[in-house]
Amino acid sequence: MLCDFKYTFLTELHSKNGWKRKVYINVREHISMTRAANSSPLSAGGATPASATAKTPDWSFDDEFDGGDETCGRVIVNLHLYIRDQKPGFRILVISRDPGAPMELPAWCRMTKNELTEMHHPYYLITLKPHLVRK
Amino acid sequence: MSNTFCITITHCSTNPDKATLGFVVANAAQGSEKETMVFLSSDGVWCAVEDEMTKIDEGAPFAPLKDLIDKFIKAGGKIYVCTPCMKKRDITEKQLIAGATPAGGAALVEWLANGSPAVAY
Repeated sequence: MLCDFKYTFLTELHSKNGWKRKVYINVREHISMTRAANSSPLSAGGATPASATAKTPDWSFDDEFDGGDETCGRVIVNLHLYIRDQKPGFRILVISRDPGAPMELPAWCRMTKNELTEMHHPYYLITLKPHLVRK
Repeated sequence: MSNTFCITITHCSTNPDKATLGFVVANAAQGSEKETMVFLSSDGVWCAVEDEMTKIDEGAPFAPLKDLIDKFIKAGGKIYVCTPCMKKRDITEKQLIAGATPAGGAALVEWLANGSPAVAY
């Protein structure tokens, strides 16, 4: 699921159970982020931002939600609308380049009783409502 | 932890930044499975009037106000609109967007008195 920005194909993710998902980036935003990072003292030597270099994690997942460069409540409500009819136990790979995501998504998981199974910004593996899964 | 949340908004074109932020937080609350009520009062009542609401667009990274409000209602959020504030501005119930409900102080007080946290914009 993609949000409202214009994206360009970046890479493809493969889940262990056969799902295949394409990952997109907002190229205009990405270029401006890279330029800003290259001129920042925090990234001396011309390093690219973490979101551009983060290695795709080798996680098993059932579906993917790409929050793009949306921030704050927009990511949350879009994610909520995307997962609300999905089954407990479903594993969603959430991608969010929002710099606030490392704070926002764990808080959202605590409030909604979804499990933050893995986290490596901008990738978040969320297991939906594991307490509702019949054993 | 409370399962409800309230956002009061007292601006529209008088402070479009605050009106926009109020609905951003409302979306975060509703999207976090909190039963969320936005209470529009003072000049905030214009946020529930289509022609006024569509004028508000703060630009990136914020979505236009109409987009935020549409998404909030779609996610199940409630919008209460202060009736005396409407009357003072000659706004009728027919002018309100679908999903917005005229209400008074008692509705707000009941919501908060039941233990809902609130934030004001």
